[in-house]
Amino acid sequence: MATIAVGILVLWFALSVVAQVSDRCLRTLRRYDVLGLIPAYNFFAPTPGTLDYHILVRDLSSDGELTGWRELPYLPSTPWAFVWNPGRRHNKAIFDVMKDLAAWINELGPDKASIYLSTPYLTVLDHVSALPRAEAATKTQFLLMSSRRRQGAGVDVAPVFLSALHPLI
Amino acid sequence: MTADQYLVLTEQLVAVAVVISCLEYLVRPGVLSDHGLAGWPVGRLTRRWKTGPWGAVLDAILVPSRYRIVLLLRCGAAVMLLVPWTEPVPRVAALAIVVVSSLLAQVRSSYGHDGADQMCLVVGGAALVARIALVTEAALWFIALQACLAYATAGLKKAASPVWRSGEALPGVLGTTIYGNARAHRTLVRHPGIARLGCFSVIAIETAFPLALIGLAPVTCVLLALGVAFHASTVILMGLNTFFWAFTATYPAIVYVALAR
Repeated sequence: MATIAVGILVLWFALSVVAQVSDRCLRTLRRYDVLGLIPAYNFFAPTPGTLDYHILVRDLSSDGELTGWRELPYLPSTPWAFVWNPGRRHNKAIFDVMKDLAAWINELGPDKASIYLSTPYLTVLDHVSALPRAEAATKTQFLLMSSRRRQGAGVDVAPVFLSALHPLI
Repeated sequence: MTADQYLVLTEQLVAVAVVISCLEYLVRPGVLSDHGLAGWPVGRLTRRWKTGPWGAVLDAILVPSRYRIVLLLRCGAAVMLLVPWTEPVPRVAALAIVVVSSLLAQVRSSYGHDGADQMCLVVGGAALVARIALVTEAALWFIALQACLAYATAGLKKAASPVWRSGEALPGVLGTTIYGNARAHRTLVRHPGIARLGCFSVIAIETAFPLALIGLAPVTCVLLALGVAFHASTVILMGLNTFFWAFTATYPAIVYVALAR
């Protein structure tokens, strides 16, 4: 029993080391790591996330008019975030979805339509489709933007991805 | 202190991270709801096996209403770990709940997790193996080596990055909404020398961290103190509250491996 247990720990550590060697090693291992046991320790490296991501939504009404864009807000931080920071999970999820979508876009082959069945696309589409709406809408569309605080004052904003218009059921 | 007492301390520290994390999810469950960004209806589509023969079992556990019960159980198990039980059975049960619920969280969705969740799984998993197979010393070695691997990987990858070496990384990260701090961002933008010093300090602490295991008490103590200071600063500036507990949970194992054996 003890030998098997030590063997498990040795194997787990060895795979953890291999996973840190390169992104390719990590991706290969994670393909088989269905339970998420292999860690990735490259916190904020090599390129740290210095962008803010934003999800904007607009709808197509039944009379064919497009609404203006509205941004889905980040959950606010509290002055006690150093001990209690419940909004960070939602905010981190926005960041993760955007990073995942950017990776999909970079790796898209000639069949660009595959993005529409990707996990990040479906995640955002499902999320924005279920948002409460003041007025009846027939279709919805989302826009993903990035922004970066300038070294001086102001913010640089750039579009990342515009979705198709999807029917609302 | 015995190896078992070091392991108990490690379990208690990681339990604090688990309790905070569970309560944060329970207070703001929107992200886990069916249409949340970490929702199960899309999460279940990410791998074929989640909708195969296991699908019905996972569906039964991971729908939001039942997953809240999983989170409550996880929170309760972590509270149990905070109590220094002498009987091994309650600790094994509590650790098993913490580890299985960590795995379920990974299966449910890959969005919204962070490095602290990852370290909780690594530490909790090793502690569970130690308790079941009575291999406390091996588990403490495993935890200490994982911590050193984590810091060294993060440090070396930062050292290879022009963004970190130029000093632009810290003001950039602190300028974001989710990890930002407006005052610290402004200060570092105004004083690029301080920003560069900060970046190199992070690289130096992380890269040098494995030296904590060489067995020289002053070196180990200085590196662990720097580690605590580093995590305290990320808590205050970036709101990485559970990182502090998850990573300092590995420090008793490092002390045991480096100094106490």
